[in-house]
Amino acid sequence: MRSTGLAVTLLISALALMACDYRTSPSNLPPALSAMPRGNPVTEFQPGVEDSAAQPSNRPEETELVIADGQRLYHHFNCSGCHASGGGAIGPALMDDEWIYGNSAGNIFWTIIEGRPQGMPAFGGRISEEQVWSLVAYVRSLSNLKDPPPAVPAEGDSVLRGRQVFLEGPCSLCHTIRGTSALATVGPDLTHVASRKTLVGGLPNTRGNLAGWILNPQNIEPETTMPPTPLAPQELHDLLDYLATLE
Amino acid sequence: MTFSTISRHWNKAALLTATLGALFAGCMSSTISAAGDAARGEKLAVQYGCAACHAIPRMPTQGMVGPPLRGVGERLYLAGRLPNTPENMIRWIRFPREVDPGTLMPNMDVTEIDGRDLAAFLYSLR
Repeated sequence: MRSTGLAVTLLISALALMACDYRTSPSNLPPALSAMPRGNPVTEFQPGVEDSAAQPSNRPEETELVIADGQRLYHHFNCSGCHASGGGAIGPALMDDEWIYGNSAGNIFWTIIEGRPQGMPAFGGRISEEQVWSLVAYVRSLSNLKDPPPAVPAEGDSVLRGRQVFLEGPCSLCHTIRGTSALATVGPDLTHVASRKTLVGGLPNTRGNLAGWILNPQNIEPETTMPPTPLAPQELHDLLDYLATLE
Repeated sequence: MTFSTISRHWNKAALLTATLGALFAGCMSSTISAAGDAARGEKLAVQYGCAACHAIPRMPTQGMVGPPLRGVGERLYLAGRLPNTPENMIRWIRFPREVDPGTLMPNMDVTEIDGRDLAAFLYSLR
């Protein structure tokens, strides 16, 4: 009896694994999407705890701007054709607290990308991930689902303060750090700046050289278009701490 | 035989040279020197990035953020507050923000031996 039970368990596990395999098999999604961890299985079960692996890492902050963009796209892509203004019609309501496929940002992201049975089309490959994230932010805002406000940087947490210096200061006007609101492409992408061996002109990428470069780049490379950045001492030290985390 | 062993011996030699030098030259010049390897210190100055902010002779960049360091050995004070001694120079190089919490100069995790060699290099700049 016990061995029969074991065999059944194994069979079920194997089937479950196969199902899993099927779900993650390459589809017609663009390469960037098929390389990502996939979303919820297509079942009618409510998700239990959120699968953090299903949360893609390129999610932007849900700012008012992103939500407003999502609202525009919601009508532009005719989501309202089925979901009305969120109250639902042909498709389910989006402003109640019933979520067939989960209400986390990752859940909704995959629902839009993959589509869901009985009518929800797959938008993966048709609209950009950035647009999907805007839609996610807007849909979540309909039921007041918002991320908790970012923690106020604790006194002494120089990395968080440095991040703030970067995002709210002039750096973000020219540079990108993926995963933040800094998306400018005038200067180099600094997402992995701490992994660089050298800075401009072959200078070793050390704290001292980076400090000098930020404060007065023309001393190091007279032709550079990067302007001097007159930071207060504490801002500089915090910023250097933050940049050192970007490996 | 490792690099650190060699460099320890080298530093002993440098210490001896500097001490003897100081004994003989003490009455001739008031310029301070530190017991360290100035040639190694010169390479470290590029590595740590001193020259990104300071104008230093022979460096690839001539920074204008902090004060120029030619002749720093002849100054009376460091950082506007510390009497110019080799110990204070090393302390300032290694822990600037402990010396002056309001300074723009970053702590660069300079090791003790690197601090000594950097100080020796700076004191060699006439």
